[in-house]
Amino acid sequence: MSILVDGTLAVPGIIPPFIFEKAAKKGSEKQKDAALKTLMISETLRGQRQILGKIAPAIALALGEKQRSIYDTRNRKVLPGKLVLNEGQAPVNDLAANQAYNYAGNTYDFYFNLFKRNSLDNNGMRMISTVHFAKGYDNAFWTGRQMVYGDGSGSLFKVGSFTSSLDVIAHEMTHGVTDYTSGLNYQYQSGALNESFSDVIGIMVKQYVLNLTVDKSDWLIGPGMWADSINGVAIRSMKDPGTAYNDPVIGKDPQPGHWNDYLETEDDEGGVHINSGIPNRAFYLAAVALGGYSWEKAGKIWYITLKDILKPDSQFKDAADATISVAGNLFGANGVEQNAVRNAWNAVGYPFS
Amino acid sequence: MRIDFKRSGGFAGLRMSKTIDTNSLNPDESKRVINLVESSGFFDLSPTISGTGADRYRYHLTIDWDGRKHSVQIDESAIPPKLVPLIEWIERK
Repeated sequence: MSILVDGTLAVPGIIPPFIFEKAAKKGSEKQKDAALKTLMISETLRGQRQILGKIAPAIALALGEKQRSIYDTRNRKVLPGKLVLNEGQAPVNDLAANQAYNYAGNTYDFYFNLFKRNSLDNNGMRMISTVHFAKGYDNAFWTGRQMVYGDGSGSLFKVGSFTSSLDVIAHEMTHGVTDYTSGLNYQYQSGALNESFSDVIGIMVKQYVLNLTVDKSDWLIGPGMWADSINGVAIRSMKDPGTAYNDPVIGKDPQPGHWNDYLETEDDEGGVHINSGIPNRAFYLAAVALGGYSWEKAGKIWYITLKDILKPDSQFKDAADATISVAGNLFGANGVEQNAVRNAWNAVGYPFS
Repeated sequence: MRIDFKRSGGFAGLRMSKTIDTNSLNPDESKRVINLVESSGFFDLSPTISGTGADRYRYHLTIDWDGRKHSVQIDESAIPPKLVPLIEWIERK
């Protein structure tokens, strides 16, 4: 029976578990990782819970273990509803539940693999989603604790379109990340930034799963979700804000792509879904200028900015200054990265006065 | 009675508005909506009822009735239970 303590290991049977437990708690990062993997695999084989139970928190942190729970309100509104799918279980008979589960997993993996973020709170928190919220509900939202998805009415949004859209799911989950990091207030400029970060991560998770470089992405949020009767290609365009739809029933896409067209309104918490077009376009421009995969440079800059720099009342100018500064720290002052970010914000109206 | 209803916010940020005038409703509907307004305690509601979360709807409701006029801004996450039937009726109309 051989143990390969380098991550590619076999089945322990001779070495008693307590040795691995000790390594899991006290070893170097590499030793911890290997020890935990050994315990996980042997646990799986033996079907025992007791060892895992004692050091479960350590495992969640070290291995980035997902904890997803999908609930169903069955077209009613009392949250969270009935538990229908829990982490590790086989897919169920409900497409919406399976999609909410899978896409939450993709979003978690994006954050963990690329940015070492362990769930929304960076502490392995359970990811709770509710599907089939209300009747014909043309919306999805974040409650402050969980994601919620409606079915769509079929007359505005296609039935099933909210849960079948990876960018929508990643958008909602990112509201959670924002709450646990910068806490951007959900109104006016800080709210538009809050919305924009959700779209930015939303588009990147989609690009990540589909393996799209910046030149291959359509930069559309929610493409194909509108009912066939609606004249629109998507809910938002990050590349060209204001062009996603133009329809007699829902009107024309009101998003501005430049500070000159910033909309002063009391609707929509001060236009958070509208004015997000400005920072969305800045991200698009920076990412495209740098090429390759968006998360490697622009995405990393944006994430670090959200996580470490911004505050609840940060305004557009603060976000711009922060991303420019982070770009310099990560990639060097006056590098192509910092210049691309600076140019992007200039193109959308920096300094926003 | 005149009701001015606006809904904004939501994931798509769509804005929709409706005006309902009981003069242009049939008697049954008119009676129904007046009942809903009466049992909602609308005129006693605080002008702003904020909520929590993100991508929730925001409602703006103004009712002008019998010499009284009142406006309320309500977050979808914090709709007072007594007001729910009226909001649902208006949304369906």
